[in-house]
Amino acid sequence: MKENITSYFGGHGYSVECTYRLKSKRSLIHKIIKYINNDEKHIPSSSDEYDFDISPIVDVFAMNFILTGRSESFYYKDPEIERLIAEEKENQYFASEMKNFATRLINTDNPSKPNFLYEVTKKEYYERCIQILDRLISVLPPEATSVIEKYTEQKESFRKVLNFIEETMPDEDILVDETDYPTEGFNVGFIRLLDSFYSRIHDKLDLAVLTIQVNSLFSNSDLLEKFGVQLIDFEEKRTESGYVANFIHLSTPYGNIEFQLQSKSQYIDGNTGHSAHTRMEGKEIKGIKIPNPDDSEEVKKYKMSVSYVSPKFGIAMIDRLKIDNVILQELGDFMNYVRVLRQVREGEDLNAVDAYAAKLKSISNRIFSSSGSSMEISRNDILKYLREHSFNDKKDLEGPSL
Amino acid sequence: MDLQESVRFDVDVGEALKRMNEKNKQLFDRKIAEYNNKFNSPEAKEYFRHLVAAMMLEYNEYFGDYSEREHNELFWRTWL
Repeated sequence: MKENITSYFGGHGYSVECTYRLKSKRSLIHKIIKYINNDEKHIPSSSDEYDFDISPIVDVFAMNFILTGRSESFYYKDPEIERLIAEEKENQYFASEMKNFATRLINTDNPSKPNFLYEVTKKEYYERCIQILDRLISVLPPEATSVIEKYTEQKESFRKVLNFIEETMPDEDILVDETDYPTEGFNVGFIRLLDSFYSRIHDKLDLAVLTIQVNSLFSNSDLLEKFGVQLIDFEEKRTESGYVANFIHLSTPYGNIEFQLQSKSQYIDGNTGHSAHTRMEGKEIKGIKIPNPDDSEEVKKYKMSVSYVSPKFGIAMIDRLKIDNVILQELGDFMNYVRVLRQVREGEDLNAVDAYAAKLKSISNRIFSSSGSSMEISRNDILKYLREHSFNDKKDLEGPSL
Repeated sequence: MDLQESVRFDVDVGEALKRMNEKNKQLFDRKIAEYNNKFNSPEAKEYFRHLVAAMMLEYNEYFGDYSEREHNELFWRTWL
Protein backbone atom coordinates (compact mmCIF):
# COMPACT_ATOMS: atom_id res chain seq x y z
CA MET A 1 0.00 0.00 0.00
CA LYS A 2 1.38 3.34 -0.98
CA GLU A 3 2.49 5.33 2.01
CA ASN A 4 0.42 8.45 2.37
CA ILE A 5 2.71 10.82 4.13
CA THR A 6 0.03 13.49 4.33
CA SER A 7 -1.72 11.43 7.01
CA TYR A 8 1.14 12.20 9.38
CA PHE A 9 0.50 15.90 8.97
CA GLY A 10 -3.21 15.76 9.69
CA GLY A 11 -3.83 15.91 5.97
CA HIS A 12 -6.45 13.18 5.81
CA GLY A 13 -10.12 13.19 6.62
CA TYR A 14 -11.27 15.52 3.85
CA SER A 15 -14.10 14.83 1.49
CA VAL A 16 -15.33 16.57 -1.61
CA GLU A 17 -18.36 16.32 -3.80
CA CYS A 18 -17.68 16.66 -7.48
CA THR A 19 -20.08 17.91 -10.10
CA TYR A 20 -19.30 18.54 -13.74
CA ARG A 21 -21.14 19.86 -16.71
CA LEU A 22 -20.97 20.48 -20.42
CA LYS A 23 -22.11 24.02 -21.16
CA SER A 24 -25.52 24.43 -22.76
CA LYS A 25 -25.54 25.12 -26.48
CA ARG A 26 -27.43 28.36 -25.87
CA SER A 27 -24.84 29.59 -23.41
CA LEU A 28 -21.96 28.66 -25.69
CA ILE A 29 -23.46 30.36 -28.75
CA HIS A 30 -24.29 33.53 -26.84
CA LYS A 31 -20.75 33.67 -25.53
CA ILE A 32 -19.22 33.23 -28.99
CA ILE A 33 -21.45 36.01 -30.35
CA LYS A 34 -20.48 38.25 -27.47
CA TYR A 35 -16.77 37.83 -28.20
CA ILE A 36 -17.22 38.24 -31.94
CA ASN A 37 -19.20 41.45 -31.44
CA ASN A 38 -16.70 42.86 -28.99
CA ASP A 39 -13.92 42.44 -31.50
CA GLU A 40 -15.66 43.74 -34.64
CA LYS A 41 -13.45 46.78 -34.62
CA HIS A 42 -10.42 44.59 -35.35
CA ILE A 43 -11.76 43.19 -38.64
CA PRO A 44 -9.11 43.70 -41.32
CA SER A 45 -10.61 45.19 -44.45
CA SER A 46 -8.87 43.18 -47.13
CA SER A 47 -7.97 39.87 -45.57
CA ASP A 48 -9.67 36.74 -46.91
CA GLU A 49 -8.89 34.57 -43.94
CA TYR A 50 -9.74 35.99 -40.56
CA ASP A 51 -9.77 34.19 -37.29
CA PHE A 52 -10.55 35.31 -33.85
CA ASP A 53 -9.08 34.52 -30.48
CA ILE A 54 -11.82 33.13 -28.28
CA SER A 55 -9.60 31.49 -25.72
CA PRO A 56 -11.43 33.39 -22.93
CA ILE A 57 -14.22 30.85 -23.39
CA VAL A 58 -12.75 28.51 -20.83
CA ASP A 59 -15.77 26.85 -19.40
CA VAL A 60 -17.31 24.78 -22.18
CA PHE A 61 -16.51 21.86 -19.90
CA ALA A 62 -16.38 22.60 -16.21
CA MET A 63 -15.99 20.70 -13.02
CA ASN A 64 -16.60 21.70 -9.45
CA PHE A 65 -15.11 20.47 -6.18
CA ILE A 66 -17.26 21.26 -3.16
CA LEU A 67 -15.57 20.71 0.18
CA THR A 68 -17.99 18.80 2.37
CA GLY A 69 -15.71 17.57 5.12
CA ARG A 70 -12.62 19.18 6.59
CA SER A 71 -10.12 17.48 8.84
CA GLU A 72 -10.10 18.97 12.32
CA SER A 73 -6.33 19.04 12.38
CA PHE A 74 -4.06 20.15 9.63
CA TYR A 75 -0.70 21.86 9.48
CA TYR A 76 -0.04 24.23 6.65
CA LYS A 77 2.83 26.63 7.00
CA ASP A 78 1.11 29.35 5.06
CA PRO A 79 0.68 32.82 6.58
CA GLU A 80 -2.74 33.31 4.98
CA ILE A 81 -4.01 29.99 6.37
CA GLU A 82 -2.64 30.86 9.81
CA ARG A 83 -4.42 34.20 9.66
CA LEU A 84 -7.70 32.54 8.66
CA ILE A 85 -7.40 29.98 11.48
CA ALA A 86 -6.95 32.81 14.01
CA GLU A 87 -9.92 34.67 12.52
CA GLU A 88 -12.09 31.55 12.66
CA LYS A 89 -11.17 30.90 16.31
CA GLU A 90 -12.02 34.45 17.28
CA ASN A 91 -15.39 34.26 15.55
CA GLN A 92 -16.09 30.85 17.08
CA TYR A 93 -16.19 32.33 20.61
CA PHE A 94 -18.75 34.88 19.47
CA ALA A 95 -20.73 32.21 17.62
CA SER A 96 -20.90 30.03 20.76
CA GLU A 97 -22.33 32.93 22.71
CA MET A 98 -24.92 33.56 20.02
CA LYS A 99 -25.77 29.87 19.86
CA ASN A 100 -26.53 29.85 23.58
CA PHE A 101 -28.94 32.71 23.02
CA ALA A 102 -30.56 30.85 20.12
CA THR A 103 -31.49 27.95 22.40
CA ARG A 104 -33.73 30.39 24.25
CA LEU A 105 -35.65 31.20 21.07
CA ILE A 106 -36.56 27.76 19.86
CA ASN A 107 -37.33 24.49 21.60
CA THR A 108 -35.68 21.68 19.65
CA ASP A 109 -36.45 18.74 21.95
CA ASN A 110 -38.30 17.37 18.95
CA PRO A 111 -35.85 18.42 16.20
CA SER A 112 -38.17 17.65 13.31
CA LYS A 113 -40.87 19.83 14.82
CA PRO A 114 -39.29 22.75 16.63
CA ASN A 115 -41.51 25.33 18.28
CA PHE A 116 -40.86 28.97 19.01
CA LEU A 117 -40.32 30.19 22.55
CA TYR A 118 -41.33 33.63 23.74
CA GLU A 119 -39.21 33.92 26.85
CA VAL A 120 -36.69 36.62 25.95
CA THR A 121 -37.34 40.34 26.06
CA LYS A 122 -37.75 42.31 22.84
CA LYS A 123 -34.87 44.52 23.95
CA GLU A 124 -32.47 41.61 24.31
CA TYR A 125 -33.68 39.98 21.11
CA TYR A 126 -33.11 43.07 18.94
CA GLU A 127 -29.81 43.85 20.64
CA ARG A 128 -28.59 40.36 19.73
CA CYS A 129 -29.90 40.70 16.17
CA ILE A 130 -27.94 43.92 15.72
CA GLN A 131 -24.87 42.33 17.31
CA ILE A 132 -24.88 39.40 14.95
CA LEU A 133 -25.57 41.59 11.92
CA ASP A 134 -22.56 43.74 12.77
CA ARG A 135 -20.38 40.65 13.00
CA LEU A 136 -21.86 39.11 9.85
CA ILE A 137 -21.14 42.26 7.86
CA SER A 138 -17.54 42.19 9.13
CA VAL A 139 -16.89 38.67 7.80
CA LEU A 140 -18.39 39.23 4.34
CA PRO A 141 -16.06 39.76 1.40
CA PRO A 142 -15.88 43.54 0.80
CA GLU A 143 -16.99 42.96 -2.81
CA ALA A 144 -20.37 41.62 -1.62
CA THR A 145 -21.85 45.12 -1.63
CA SER A 146 -25.48 44.19 -2.26
CA VAL A 147 -25.43 41.66 0.59
CA ILE A 148 -23.79 44.19 2.90
CA GLU A 149 -26.43 46.72 1.90
CA LYS A 150 -29.21 44.21 2.62
CA TYR A 151 -27.82 43.43 6.06
CA THR A 152 -27.23 47.13 6.82
CA GLU A 153 -30.86 47.91 6.00
CA GLN A 154 -31.97 45.07 8.22
CA LYS A 155 -29.78 46.38 11.03
CA GLU A 156 -31.28 49.88 10.68
CA SER A 157 -34.74 48.42 10.82
CA PHE A 158 -33.93 46.52 14.03
CA ARG A 159 -32.26 49.66 15.46
CA LYS A 160 -35.49 51.62 14.94
CA VAL A 161 -37.49 48.97 16.80
CA LEU A 162 -34.96 48.96 19.64
CA ASN A 163 -34.97 52.76 19.87
CA PHE A 164 -38.76 52.77 20.03
CA ILE A 165 -38.74 50.23 22.87
CA GLU A 166 -36.07 52.11 24.78
CA GLU A 167 -37.87 55.45 24.39
CA THR A 168 -41.41 54.33 25.13
CA MET A 169 -40.98 51.40 27.54
CA PRO A 170 -37.53 51.76 29.12
CA ASP A 171 -38.40 50.04 32.39
CA GLU A 172 -40.63 47.30 31.10
CA ASP A 173 -39.47 43.82 30.16
CA ILE A 174 -41.72 43.25 27.17
CA LEU A 175 -41.32 39.72 25.90
CA VAL A 176 -41.04 38.84 22.19
CA ASP A 177 -44.16 37.66 20.40
CA GLU A 178 -45.13 36.36 17.00
CA THR A 179 -44.66 39.77 15.41
CA ASP A 180 -40.94 39.56 16.16
CA TYR A 181 -40.58 36.19 14.47
CA PRO A 182 -41.57 35.57 10.85
CA THR A 183 -44.53 33.22 10.80
CA GLU A 184 -43.41 30.99 7.97
CA GLY A 185 -41.31 27.97 8.66
CA PHE A 186 -38.13 27.91 10.65
CA ASN A 187 -36.84 31.23 9.40
CA VAL A 188 -36.74 33.12 12.66
CA GLY A 189 -34.71 36.28 11.94
CA PHE A 190 -31.96 35.68 14.48
CA ILE A 191 -31.68 31.95 13.76
CA ARG A 192 -31.32 32.57 10.04
CA LEU A 193 -28.65 35.19 10.68
CA LEU A 194 -26.80 32.80 12.99
CA ASP A 195 -26.83 30.08 10.31
CA SER A 196 -25.40 32.53 7.79
CA PHE A 197 -22.74 33.59 10.24
CA TYR A 198 -21.67 30.01 10.97
CA SER A 199 -21.34 29.33 7.25
CA ARG A 200 -19.33 32.47 6.63
CA ILE A 201 -16.79 31.95 9.41
CA HIS A 202 -15.90 28.49 8.14
CA ASP A 203 -16.12 29.31 4.43
CA LYS A 204 -12.96 31.33 4.10
CA LEU A 205 -10.76 28.70 5.71
CA ASP A 206 -12.46 25.82 3.90
CA LEU A 207 -11.96 27.45 0.54
CA ALA A 208 -8.34 28.42 1.25
CA VAL A 209 -7.45 24.87 2.32
CA LEU A 210 -9.21 23.29 -0.67
CA THR A 211 -7.41 25.65 -3.04
CA ILE A 212 -3.98 24.80 -1.63
CA GLN A 213 -4.76 21.08 -1.88
CA VAL A 214 -5.99 21.15 -5.48
CA ASN A 215 -3.14 23.37 -6.64
CA SER A 216 -0.64 20.97 -5.10
CA LEU A 217 -2.24 18.02 -6.92
CA PHE A 218 -1.58 19.61 -10.28
CA SER A 219 2.03 20.21 -9.31
CA ASN A 220 2.74 16.74 -7.95
CA SER A 221 0.46 14.15 -9.50
CA ASP A 222 2.09 11.89 -12.08
CA LEU A 223 -1.36 10.65 -13.07
CA LEU A 224 -2.71 14.11 -13.88
CA GLU A 225 0.46 14.97 -15.76
CA LYS A 226 -0.23 12.06 -18.12
CA PHE A 227 -3.51 13.74 -19.08
CA GLY A 228 -1.54 16.63 -20.53
CA VAL A 229 -3.22 19.01 -18.08
CA GLN A 230 -1.54 22.30 -17.28
CA LEU A 231 -2.57 24.97 -14.87
CA ILE A 232 -2.78 28.24 -16.80
CA ASP A 233 -4.64 30.66 -14.60
CA PHE A 234 -6.12 31.20 -11.16
CA GLU A 235 -8.97 33.55 -10.35
CA GLU A 236 -10.71 34.53 -7.15
CA LYS A 237 -14.28 35.48 -7.94
CA ARG A 238 -16.09 37.66 -5.44
CA THR A 239 -19.17 39.52 -6.63
CA GLU A 240 -21.50 42.15 -5.23
CA SER A 241 -24.22 39.51 -4.81
CA GLY A 242 -21.98 37.60 -2.42
CA TYR A 243 -20.89 34.92 -4.87
CA VAL A 244 -17.61 33.33 -3.76
CA ALA A 245 -15.55 30.78 -5.68
CA ASN A 246 -11.97 30.19 -6.71
CA PHE A 247 -11.36 29.18 -10.30
CA ILE A 248 -8.49 27.22 -11.69
CA HIS A 249 -8.30 27.35 -15.47
CA LEU A 250 -6.68 24.35 -17.05
CA SER A 251 -5.29 23.71 -20.46
CA THR A 252 -6.03 20.23 -21.82
CA PRO A 253 -5.55 18.60 -25.21
CA TYR A 254 -9.28 19.20 -25.81
CA GLY A 255 -9.19 22.87 -24.95
CA ASN A 256 -9.40 24.92 -21.81
CA ILE A 257 -11.62 23.88 -18.94
CA GLU A 258 -12.74 25.56 -15.77
CA PHE A 259 -12.27 24.01 -12.35
CA GLN A 260 -14.34 25.72 -9.67
CA LEU A 261 -13.66 25.34 -5.96
CA GLN A 262 -16.18 26.17 -3.24
CA SER A 263 -17.21 25.34 0.28
CA LYS A 264 -20.58 23.63 0.67
CA SER A 265 -22.50 26.76 1.67
CA GLN A 266 -20.84 28.80 -1.09
CA TYR A 267 -22.03 26.19 -3.60
CA ILE A 268 -25.59 26.21 -2.25
CA ASP A 269 -25.78 30.00 -2.17
CA GLY A 270 -24.38 30.20 -5.69
CA ASN A 271 -27.07 27.88 -7.00
CA THR A 272 -30.20 28.81 -5.08
CA GLY A 273 -29.31 31.66 -2.76
CA HIS A 274 -28.73 35.37 -3.00
CA SER A 275 -25.81 35.00 -5.39
CA ALA A 276 -27.52 32.49 -7.70
CA HIS A 277 -26.22 32.36 -11.24
CA THR A 278 -29.68 32.95 -12.65
CA ARG A 279 -29.71 36.43 -11.12
CA MET A 280 -27.21 37.50 -13.74
CA GLU A 281 -28.70 39.21 -16.76
CA GLY A 282 -29.39 36.84 -19.60
CA LYS A 283 -28.82 33.76 -17.44
CA GLU A 284 -32.42 33.20 -16.39
CA ILE A 285 -34.08 30.08 -17.72
CA LYS A 286 -37.82 30.13 -18.25
CA GLY A 287 -40.06 27.11 -18.54
CA ILE A 288 -40.90 26.10 -22.10
CA LYS A 289 -44.56 25.27 -22.76
CA ILE A 290 -45.06 21.56 -22.11
CA PRO A 291 -46.12 19.84 -25.34
CA ASN A 292 -49.03 17.54 -25.99
CA PRO A 293 -47.30 14.13 -25.80
CA ASP A 294 -49.55 12.84 -28.60
CA ASP A 295 -48.34 15.52 -31.00
CA SER A 296 -45.04 14.26 -32.36
CA GLU A 297 -44.08 17.59 -33.94
CA GLU A 298 -44.68 19.50 -30.71
CA VAL A 299 -42.71 16.89 -28.78
CA LYS A 300 -39.82 17.07 -31.24
CA LYS A 301 -39.63 20.89 -31.01
CA TYR A 302 -39.87 20.76 -27.22
CA LYS A 303 -37.04 18.24 -26.93
CA MET A 304 -34.82 20.31 -29.20
CA SER A 305 -35.54 23.47 -27.22
CA VAL A 306 -34.87 21.78 -23.89
CA SER A 307 -31.64 20.29 -25.24
CA TYR A 308 -30.63 23.76 -26.47
CA VAL A 309 -30.99 25.52 -23.10
CA SER A 310 -29.88 22.76 -20.69
CA PRO A 311 -26.32 22.04 -19.66
CA LYS A 312 -25.46 18.36 -19.29
CA PHE A 313 -24.78 17.63 -15.63
CA GLY A 314 -22.86 14.85 -13.99
CA ILE A 315 -21.89 13.85 -10.48
CA ALA A 316 -18.77 11.90 -9.50
CA MET A 317 -18.28 10.09 -6.22
CA ILE A 318 -15.82 7.66 -4.70
CA ASP A 319 -17.26 4.17 -4.35
CA ARG A 320 -16.94 3.64 -0.60
CA LEU A 321 -17.01 -0.12 -1.07
CA LYS A 322 -14.01 0.05 -3.38
CA ILE A 323 -12.14 3.28 -2.93
CA ASP A 324 -10.13 2.97 -6.14
CA ASN A 325 -13.38 3.26 -8.09
CA VAL A 326 -15.22 6.40 -9.06
CA ILE A 327 -18.92 6.29 -9.91
CA LEU A 328 -20.09 8.83 -12.49
CA GLN A 329 -23.77 9.58 -12.74
CA GLU A 330 -24.87 11.66 -15.73
CA LEU A 331 -28.35 13.11 -15.65
CA GLY A 332 -30.96 12.60 -18.35
CA ASP A 333 -32.68 15.34 -20.35
CA PHE A 334 -35.57 15.74 -17.92
CA MET A 335 -33.34 16.15 -14.85
CA ASN A 336 -30.88 18.43 -16.66
CA TYR A 337 -33.70 20.78 -17.58
CA VAL A 338 -35.49 20.78 -14.23
CA ARG A 339 -32.20 21.26 -12.41
CA VAL A 340 -31.61 24.48 -14.28
CA LEU A 341 -35.19 25.68 -13.74
CA ARG A 342 -34.78 25.12 -9.98
CA GLN A 343 -31.84 27.54 -9.78
CA VAL A 344 -34.10 30.34 -8.65
CA ARG A 345 -33.26 33.22 -6.41
CA GLU A 346 -33.73 33.05 -2.69
CA GLY A 347 -37.19 34.23 -1.78
CA GLU A 348 -38.71 33.49 -5.15
CA ASP A 349 -41.60 31.10 -5.28
CA LEU A 350 -40.48 27.61 -6.17
CA ASN A 351 -44.05 26.40 -6.28
CA ALA A 352 -44.53 27.29 -9.94
CA VAL A 353 -41.30 25.46 -10.86
CA ASP A 354 -42.32 22.44 -8.77
CA ALA A 355 -45.74 22.34 -10.42
CA TYR A 356 -44.15 22.52 -13.86
CA ALA A 357 -41.63 19.79 -12.97
CA ALA A 358 -44.38 17.55 -11.60
CA LYS A 359 -46.48 17.90 -14.73
CA LEU A 360 -43.47 17.28 -16.96
CA LYS A 361 -42.37 14.28 -14.88
CA SER A 362 -45.77 12.63 -15.30
CA ILE A 363 -45.27 12.48 -19.07
CA SER A 364 -41.46 12.51 -19.27
CA ASN A 365 -41.20 8.92 -20.49
CA ARG A 366 -43.36 9.88 -23.48
CA ILE A 367 -41.18 12.88 -24.32
CA PHE A 368 -37.58 12.15 -23.39
CA SER A 369 -35.63 9.17 -24.60
CA SER A 370 -32.58 9.67 -22.39
CA SER A 371 -32.93 8.94 -18.67
CA GLY A 372 -29.28 9.42 -17.87
CA SER A 373 -26.48 6.97 -17.42
CA SER A 374 -24.08 5.74 -14.81
CA MET A 375 -20.64 4.21 -15.10
CA GLU A 376 -17.68 3.36 -12.94
CA ILE A 377 -14.09 4.21 -13.73
CA SER A 378 -11.37 2.58 -11.66
CA ARG A 379 -7.73 3.57 -11.30
CA ASN A 380 -6.83 0.60 -13.52
CA ASP A 381 -9.30 1.84 -16.16
CA ILE A 382 -7.59 5.24 -16.10
CA LEU A 383 -4.12 3.71 -16.41
CA LYS A 384 -5.30 1.57 -19.33
CA TYR A 385 -6.88 4.63 -20.98
CA LEU A 386 -3.65 6.60 -20.62
CA ARG A 387 -1.61 3.72 -22.07
CA GLU A 388 -3.88 3.72 -25.12
CA HIS A 389 -3.86 7.51 -25.54
CA SER A 390 -0.92 9.85 -25.42
CA PHE A 391 -1.74 13.41 -24.37
CA ASN A 392 1.62 14.88 -23.66
CA ASP A 393 2.27 15.72 -27.28
CA LYS A 394 -0.29 18.53 -27.67
CA LYS A 395 0.32 18.80 -31.42
CA ASP A 396 -1.80 15.70 -31.87
CA LEU A 397 -4.94 17.43 -30.70
CA GLU A 398 -5.58 21.10 -31.14
CA GLY A 399 -8.09 22.82 -28.96
CA PRO A 400 -9.70 26.18 -29.77
CA SER A 401 -7.15 28.62 -31.19
CA LEU A 402 -5.22 30.45 -28.50
CA MET B 1 -29.28 18.33 -32.98
CA ASP B 2 -25.98 20.08 -33.62
CA LEU B 3 -25.16 23.64 -32.87
CA GLN B 4 -25.93 24.96 -36.35
CA GLU B 5 -29.46 23.65 -36.05
CA SER B 6 -29.77 25.06 -32.55
CA VAL B 7 -29.40 28.57 -33.90
CA ARG B 8 -32.83 28.39 -35.53
CA PHE B 9 -34.47 28.16 -32.12
CA ASP B 10 -32.95 31.21 -30.58
CA VAL B 11 -34.51 34.53 -31.53
CA ASP B 12 -31.70 36.48 -29.86
CA VAL B 13 -29.10 34.65 -31.93
CA GLY B 14 -31.07 35.24 -35.11
CA GLU B 15 -31.14 38.96 -34.41
CA ALA B 16 -27.44 39.04 -33.58
CA LEU B 17 -26.56 37.23 -36.82
CA LYS B 18 -28.64 39.69 -38.88
CA ARG B 19 -26.50 42.51 -37.52
CA MET B 20 -23.20 40.75 -38.27
CA ASN B 21 -21.16 41.35 -41.39
CA GLU B 22 -20.41 38.44 -43.68
CA LYS B 23 -16.89 37.79 -42.41
CA ASN B 24 -18.10 37.52 -38.84
CA LYS B 25 -20.91 35.23 -39.87
CA GLN B 26 -18.37 32.93 -41.46
CA LEU B 27 -16.23 33.19 -38.36
CA PHE B 28 -19.24 32.33 -36.24
CA ASP B 29 -19.92 29.22 -38.31
CA ARG B 30 -16.29 28.12 -38.07
CA LYS B 31 -16.18 28.54 -34.31
CA ILE B 32 -19.47 26.72 -33.83
CA ALA B 33 -18.22 23.82 -35.93
CA GLU B 34 -14.89 23.78 -34.12
CA TYR B 35 -16.45 23.56 -30.68
CA ASN B 36 -19.00 21.07 -31.89
CA ASN B 37 -16.26 18.79 -33.18
CA LYS B 38 -14.01 19.17 -30.15
CA PHE B 39 -16.27 19.30 -27.13
CA ASN B 40 -19.19 17.28 -28.40
CA SER B 41 -17.04 14.47 -29.78
CA PRO B 42 -17.10 11.06 -28.07
CA GLU B 43 -13.31 11.28 -27.63
CA ALA B 44 -13.59 14.57 -25.74
CA LYS B 45 -16.30 13.26 -23.46
CA GLU B 46 -14.30 10.12 -22.74
CA TYR B 47 -11.27 12.25 -21.91
CA PHE B 48 -13.19 14.51 -19.52
CA ARG B 49 -14.84 11.61 -17.75
CA HIS B 50 -11.47 9.95 -17.13
CA LEU B 51 -10.00 13.27 -16.01
CA VAL B 52 -12.84 13.82 -13.52
CA ALA B 53 -12.36 10.30 -12.15
CA ALA B 54 -8.59 10.82 -11.91
CA MET B 55 -9.09 14.08 -9.99
CA MET B 56 -11.39 12.37 -7.50
CA LEU B 57 -9.03 9.46 -7.01
CA GLU B 58 -5.97 11.64 -6.60
CA TYR B 59 -7.72 13.96 -4.14
CA ASN B 60 -8.94 11.03 -2.09
CA GLU B 61 -5.52 9.37 -2.26
CA TYR B 62 -3.76 12.40 -0.80
CA PHE B 63 -6.40 13.98 1.39
CA GLY B 64 -9.20 11.48 1.85
CA ASP B 65 -9.97 9.38 4.86
CA TYR B 66 -6.74 7.44 5.25
CA SER B 67 -8.06 5.47 8.17
CA GLU B 68 -10.89 4.12 6.05
CA ARG B 69 -8.51 2.98 3.37
CA GLU B 70 -6.20 1.46 5.93
CA HIS B 71 -9.17 -0.26 7.56
CA ASN B 72 -10.31 -1.67 4.22
CA GLU B 73 -6.83 -2.99 3.44
CA LEU B 74 -6.47 -4.66 6.84
CA PHE B 75 -9.98 -6.06 6.70
CA TRP B 76 -9.51 -7.73 3.32
CA ARG B 77 -6.06 -9.04 4.23
CA THR B 78 -7.46 -10.61 7.40
CA TRP B 79 -10.56 -11.98 5.69
CA LEU B 80 -8.59 -13.53 2.88
